Amino acid sequence: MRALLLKDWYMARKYCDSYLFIVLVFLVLSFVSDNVIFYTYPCMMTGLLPYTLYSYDEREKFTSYCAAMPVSKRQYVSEKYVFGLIASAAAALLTLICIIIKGKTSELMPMLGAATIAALISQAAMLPFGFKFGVEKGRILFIAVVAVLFAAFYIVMGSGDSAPTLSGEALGYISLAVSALLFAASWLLSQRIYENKEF
Amino acid sequence: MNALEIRSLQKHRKGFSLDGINLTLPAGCIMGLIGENGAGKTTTIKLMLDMIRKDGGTVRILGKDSAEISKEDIGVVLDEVGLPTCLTACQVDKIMSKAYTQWSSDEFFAYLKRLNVPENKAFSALSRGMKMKLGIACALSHKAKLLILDEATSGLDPAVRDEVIDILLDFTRDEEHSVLISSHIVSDLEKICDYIAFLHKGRLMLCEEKDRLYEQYGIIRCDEKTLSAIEPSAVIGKRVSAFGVEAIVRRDTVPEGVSIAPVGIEELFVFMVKEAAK
Repeated sequence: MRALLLKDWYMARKYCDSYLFIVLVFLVLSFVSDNVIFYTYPCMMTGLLPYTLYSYDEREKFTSYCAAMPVSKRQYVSEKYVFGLIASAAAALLTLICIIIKGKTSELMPMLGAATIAALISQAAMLPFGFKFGVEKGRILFIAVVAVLFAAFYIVMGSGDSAPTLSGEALGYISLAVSALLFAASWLLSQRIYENKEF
Repeated sequence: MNALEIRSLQKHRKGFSLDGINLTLPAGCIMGLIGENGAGKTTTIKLMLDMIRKDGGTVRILGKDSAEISKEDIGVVLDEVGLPTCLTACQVDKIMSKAYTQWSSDEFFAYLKRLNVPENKAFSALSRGMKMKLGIACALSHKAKLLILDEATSGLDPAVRDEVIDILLDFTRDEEHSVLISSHIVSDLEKICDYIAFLHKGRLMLCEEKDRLYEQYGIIRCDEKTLSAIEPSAVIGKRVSAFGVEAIVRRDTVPEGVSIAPVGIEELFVFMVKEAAK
């Protein structure tokens, strides 16, 4: 897996340099502005990284090359999730340092938490679609599923009595637990999908 | 121990079937897998490497089932090399040193130097020939015992093909090293292969030692009457023209007095394919 992590690091530096540039610019701007986007965007951007790197692997036929290397299909899939986790954790840590330096932990920590959870959920949601249907089809199907889910959520929330309210802290812990479960379930599902893939 | 043993290998797809392939590559030998485009060469190689699922049959590599063999012992070059296009050879070395326990950076850079592959140029900036050479250098740098090359010499100029052929011959000087190389450029395979296998529309038409093929078959140019004197089962294929008949036949069935010339592997293959099409 170390080989794949190094490969993806080289690729991220090359192909996702614009993402990395935006992250660094936003972190610098966070010192001069309290706009919440500067504290959430870096983390949320990492949600796209694993899928983007997988799209390059598929396009450049590295997935076939990797199948002939001493790398199992499970390891290949796991590396994408691990890379996503490392990227999200690194972005969250850098943002946290900025928040601590600014002395606004109580205000901005929940936002950072939500952004990190959003990054993990988007990785967890997108990767199985890519592994199952290929990158382009997977992207379209993912957008369609998200649209349907949003529509269903909107209909449900708009039609009945208002949902029971939870305290911010409770909501935070529940969201964290749910996102961790979703991430783990997605990881296992992706491994299962990829095991049956042919090259 | 044989390097490769394939028994009754099958794969069925819409419009194509690989039909019960049986093939043995002894250790220390080079086998050429010849076939036209779409014959099933790449499918056979992918089945060997467990990249696609078999519908039947078994594959044993270096004495182990293909699903159990470590890919550390196999060096592979596919027709589309498959390395990420942004990587340089130096970065490839760092990655491969973490992927293969027996990776040798010294050997890798020595092959790059021998094949004139630049170390710090991105893969996407290399010509097709250079990309293939980099792929070959990767396959040779982790102490593999079996090399599998799928159309590895296509797109290479004659001088480089010659260099690659020399490298493969050096590789098999070690009796534990074997090579399976697929190509439709028969002349390359004829230079280096010990064994030849002909694949046509998913069927293995022939798998034999190259020297035995030369001993067994020859080409005669005669009239129809002379050809009719030879038992039909001994005629591999024939081509009729206004000037007479050209036929590839088993040497031991040719009547006395009929002149028989040596046949090249390419001619043999073309005649067999045309006969199969009738």
